[in-house]
Amino acid sequence: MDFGWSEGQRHAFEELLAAIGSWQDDRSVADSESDLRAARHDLASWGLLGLSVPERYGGGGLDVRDTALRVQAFGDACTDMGLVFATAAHLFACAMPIAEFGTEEARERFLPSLCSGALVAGNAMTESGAGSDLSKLGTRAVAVDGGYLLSGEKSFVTNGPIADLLVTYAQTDPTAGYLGITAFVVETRTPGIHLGPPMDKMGLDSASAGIVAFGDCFVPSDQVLGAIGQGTEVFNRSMRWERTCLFAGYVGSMDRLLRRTVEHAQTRSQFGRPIGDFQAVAHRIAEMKSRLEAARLLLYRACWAIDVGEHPDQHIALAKLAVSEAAVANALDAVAVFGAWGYLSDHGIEVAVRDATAGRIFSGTSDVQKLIIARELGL
Amino acid sequence: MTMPERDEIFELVRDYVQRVVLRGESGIAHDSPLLEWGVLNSITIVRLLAFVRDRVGVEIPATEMTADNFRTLDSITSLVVTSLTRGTG
Repeated sequence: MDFGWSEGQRHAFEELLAAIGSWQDDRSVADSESDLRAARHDLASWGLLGLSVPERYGGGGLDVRDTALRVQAFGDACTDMGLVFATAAHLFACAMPIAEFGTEEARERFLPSLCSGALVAGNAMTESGAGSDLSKLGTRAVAVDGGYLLSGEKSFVTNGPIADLLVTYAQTDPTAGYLGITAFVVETRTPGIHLGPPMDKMGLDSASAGIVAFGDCFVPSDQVLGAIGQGTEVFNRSMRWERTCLFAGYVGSMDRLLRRTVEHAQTRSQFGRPIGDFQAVAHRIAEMKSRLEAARLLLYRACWAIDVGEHPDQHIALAKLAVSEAAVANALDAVAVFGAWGYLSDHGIEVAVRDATAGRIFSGTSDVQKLIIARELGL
Repeated sequence: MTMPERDEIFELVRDYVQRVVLRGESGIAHDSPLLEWGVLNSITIVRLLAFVRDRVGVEIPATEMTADNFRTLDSITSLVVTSLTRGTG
């Protein structure tokens, strides 16, 4: 495995870092509370809405490693992790399932608009009674002439309140357990859909999430993703993208947080010397660096495994677990180094704790990742 | 390596499901609805496929992950036999 970056990768990373950094410096306070819909045209101009979508549909056509490096730059330059998360959900949980499993008609109809930002997409899988256990989905899809009628309610739908399009999952064969789930792409203007308001949550503030209710909502057959009963596979593939490339954003945010923490330890003086001179502080920061680099290597390893066609499940689970846990631990350590300033909202440190906490839950909890790792070990 | 007979594969799969998945708790027949009863789910199927890969030497492609292929011991056996034949043919 080659851990070095090519000249092209380095150039693309730094270019994106500079562009987003400059954009963010220009954002007003009001802008900083805006969402994916407000920022979508800027994000599209940097290719972030379609990084891994094939070029013929308006995307960047990047492989997993290059996609991850771009998202890492996004997470590094952009302090608004809610926006990083919302963008990643739009791309990895919505555009990619359409790119990988959609009919040609659906690809041509939706992907160029998703890449350009003309459409915003939401990921509608989770239900109040079905989180990690997909076999318990209550949303049903009944075959009718020309398509399916969807009925049920989804919860925690990322981008749901602002979505033009949803990728969703429903039971088409209740006797077939998790192999009775089918994936659909649905336009939110379709009669029978109700989009709930944004939910209040702990972090990722600018990423809206809400309930979506389907009431006998008609979806044409050419908007089925994959085969009937293949919904779990469609979802699992989208999770491969999220657990690697979305979490590359957290690697970027940890890079940013570490730089700020080091700078603070170098410039904040107590007892006549910089606090970084004290071993307790220095060791805490060394541990932050150690966690970050271990997580980064596991993430790159997982991306590489997917790109070369190696069985990637264990690598992906190890990476997701390591990055999400490191993000929480490093954020708490940063608060400790910054002291009272770390606890104040306007210093931008405590938000890292709130944003990182979500990472241990979405895209499969840390407990689920451990279960996958154990399963791959034969347990 | 000699290709195992259908009966051998059936017995291998039945024994695995009975012993590992059900932990020997109750009996299953060749036509018991494994998906409907929740015996096979996203976790147990992946484990079963890993077992088949190790013991029979056949990788079941993602395109074959359909309900019809996993409903019963009979259908799983047919899937493994077909995949083996395709792989060695």
